[in-house]
Amino acid sequence: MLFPDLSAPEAKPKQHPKSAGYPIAFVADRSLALLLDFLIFSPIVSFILAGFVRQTRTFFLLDMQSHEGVLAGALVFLVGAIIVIFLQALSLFYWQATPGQIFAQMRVVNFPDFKKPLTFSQSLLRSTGWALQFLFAALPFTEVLSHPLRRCLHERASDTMVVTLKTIPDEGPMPLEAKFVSSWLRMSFLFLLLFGFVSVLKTYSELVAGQGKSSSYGLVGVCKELKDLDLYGSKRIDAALSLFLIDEITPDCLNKEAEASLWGDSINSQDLAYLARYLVSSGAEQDLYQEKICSAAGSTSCLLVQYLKAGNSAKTLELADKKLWVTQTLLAEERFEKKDYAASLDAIARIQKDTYLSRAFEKRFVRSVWALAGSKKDNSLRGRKPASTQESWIEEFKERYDLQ
Amino acid sequence: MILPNPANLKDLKKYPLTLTLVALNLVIFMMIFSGVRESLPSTKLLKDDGLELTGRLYYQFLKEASPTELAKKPSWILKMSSLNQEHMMVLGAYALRDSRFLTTAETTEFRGDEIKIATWKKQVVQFHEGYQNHLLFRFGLSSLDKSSLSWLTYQFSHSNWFHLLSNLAFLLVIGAAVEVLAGSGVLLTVYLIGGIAGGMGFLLSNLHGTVPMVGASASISALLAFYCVAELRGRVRYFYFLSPLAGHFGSIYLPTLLILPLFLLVDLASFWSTPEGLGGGVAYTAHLGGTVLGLSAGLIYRWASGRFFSMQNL
Repeated sequence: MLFPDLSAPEAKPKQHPKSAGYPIAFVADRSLALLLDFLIFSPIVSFILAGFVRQTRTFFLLDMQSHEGVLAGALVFLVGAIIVIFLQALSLFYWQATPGQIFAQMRVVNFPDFKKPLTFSQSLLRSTGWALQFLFAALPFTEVLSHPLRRCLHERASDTMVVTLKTIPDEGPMPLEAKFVSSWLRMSFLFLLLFGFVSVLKTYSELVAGQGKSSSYGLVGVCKELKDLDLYGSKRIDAALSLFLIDEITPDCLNKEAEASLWGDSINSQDLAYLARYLVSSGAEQDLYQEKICSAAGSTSCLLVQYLKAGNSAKTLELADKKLWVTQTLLAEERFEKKDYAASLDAIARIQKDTYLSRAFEKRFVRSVWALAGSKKDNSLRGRKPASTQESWIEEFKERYDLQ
Repeated sequence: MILPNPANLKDLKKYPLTLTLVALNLVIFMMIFSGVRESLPSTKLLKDDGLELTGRLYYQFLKEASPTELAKKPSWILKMSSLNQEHMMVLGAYALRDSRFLTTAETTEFRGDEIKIATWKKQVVQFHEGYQNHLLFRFGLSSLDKSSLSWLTYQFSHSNWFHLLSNLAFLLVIGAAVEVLAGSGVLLTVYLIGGIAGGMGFLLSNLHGTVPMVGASASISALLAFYCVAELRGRVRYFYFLSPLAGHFGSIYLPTLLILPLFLLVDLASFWSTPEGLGGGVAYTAHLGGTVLGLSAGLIYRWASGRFFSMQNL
C-alpha cells in the first residue's frame, strides 16, 4: 500500500466532503462543556444521594466485606446514573442544551430538521445513550473525532446533533483523520471485548476455586486451628493451652483465645487466660502477667507458671490441678523427658479420653510408644524383664493401628 | 482543569489587605508550623492493638452510659459487636475523639485484662498530655479548649503545606475580588467574623470532640458567599485547560451565582454522607458556618449599598 506524501501541497487532506454547511461544534468546546457539566451535576447528585452514601459507608464501616454495602453501593451508582440522565434530559428538553453546553455556546438540535424542537423522549434517549457508553470504557465517544458531523452513537440513535453558536463553526474531521480514528476505535473495541472475556473467565475460575467464600476473619476467639473446637469457657482455653504446648496451634491463635476469655462475660476462665497471655508475651510484660497470676498464691495457674519458669521442678507440677488438660500435657512432657514413657502414656491417655484433643495428641502417643518399645529392647539386652504396663501400651498401640 | 482567574488579579495595588492576609498566613506557618510534625504524638494507642483495646474499654464505657447519653451517639455505634476486632478498632478510633471518655478514663473501673488496662491508662494520660502540648492543639479550636484567643489563632494556622497553599490560592482570588468590590474594611470584617462563625459551626457539630480545627477555610467560605451575594449578576473569569492543542485552553466567564450553590452543596453533601463522628479531616460544618455568615453579610452589604431591591427583580 502506498501512503500519500502529506507534505506535498496537492496531497493536503481536505475537509470531509459530508461536513460542509453544518455549524458543527468544536471538540474542545464539547470537552469543556463536559467538564462544566461534571462540575455542576456532581454536587447536585452528591447532595441528593448524601444519605444513601452515608448508609453505604456505614455498612462498610461495620463490615469491610459487607454484602449489604456492595448492594447499597451498586444502588447508589445506579440511582446516581438515573439522576444524571434525568437532569441532562430535562435541561436538553427545556434549554436545548446542558448547562455546560450553554456556557460553551452550543445547542443540541434535531437532525436533520434543525428547526423542529427536541421532544422529551428524544432528550431522554440521547442522555441514556450517552450514559450507556461509559459501560464500554467511554470508547464510543471517540467517534466525535471521526464522524463527518461529529455525531456520536447516542446522537445518531436519538437523531440529534450538537451545533455551535459561534460565528465560525468547526470544519469537521479530515478524511484521513476520520479513517485513522475509526480504525483505532474498532481495534480498541476488539481489545476491550478480549479484556472483558478474559476477566469473566478469570473471575469465574476464582469463584469455582472458592475465593469468593466469606471468611470469619475478625471474630475474637476464632482462629483457623480451633474453628471446629466446640468448647466454651475454661474448657476451651484449657484445650487451647494444651494444644499450644504441643505446638498444634500458633501463639497468635492462643492469644485470640485468651483475649476472648479475658474480654468475654465468662469469669471462670480468667486464670487460664492470664496463663495463656503469660505464654505468648515476653520481657517485662511477661513479668507483669506472672505477678498477676501469682497474686493468688498456690493457684494452679501460678504453680504452672512457676514450673514453666523453673523448667524441671516436677514437684510443683504434681501440686497443680490434674483435672486440667494443660497440667496433664505438662506432666506427659515432663515424664517423657525423664524417660518414664509408661507414665507419660498414662497422662496422654487421660487427655485422649476427650474426643476433642484425641487426634491432636496421637503424635505424642506414637512418640511415647515408640520410645517405650526402644527402651524395652534396651532393657532386654541388659537382661531385664519388661514391666507388664509397658507390654499393655505396646499391645494398645498394635490394636489401635491394626498391627500384628 | 478549571481555575478562577479574575481579570483584576494583575493589579496588586487594588487589594493590599488580601496580600497582607496571605503573607500573614504564610509567615505564621513558616515560623510556627513548618517544622512541626502533622501527626499526633506517637503512641501505641494509635496502633491496631491499641485501638482495639481502646474500643473494648469504650464499649464498657458505653454500657454504663444512660439511655439519653447513648441516644446522642451515632447510630452505628450501637451496632458494634465486642466479638469483632474490626468493630473494636473503629470504636477505638471514635473513642479517642470523645473528650468525656478520655478525661474520665484514668479513674474509670474497667473489666478485662487488668495488665493491659493498667498500661493503657498510663498511655492515655501520656497521649492526653502530648496532645494538649501539640502546637496544632494549642493554636486550634476544639471542644476541649475554647479559650478566646483560639477563635482567632485557628484562622491563621495550617496543618501542612498543601493545606496552606490550597487555602491561600482561594484566599488570593476571592479576597482580591471582595476587596476590589467592597474595600479592605469589609474584607477584614467578613474574614474574621466568618472565621468565628465557622468555629461555632464546627463546635456545634462536635460538642465533645477532641480533634482541633485549624485553617482559613471557614473565613474563605464566608468571603466566597459574600462575593456571590454581593455581586449576584456578575461573572467571574475562569481559566480552563483541556490539552495543549489550540482551542483546548483559554478563559471562560461563568456567573458568580453558580459558584455559591455548588460550593454549599459540596459541603452539605460531604457532611451528610460521612458517618457521624468520623470526620474525614475536613471541617465541613465550619465551611457551612462561614457560608451562612457570608450570605448574611452579603445581603446586608447589598441593602446598605442600595442594591438589595435590584436583586429582588432578578
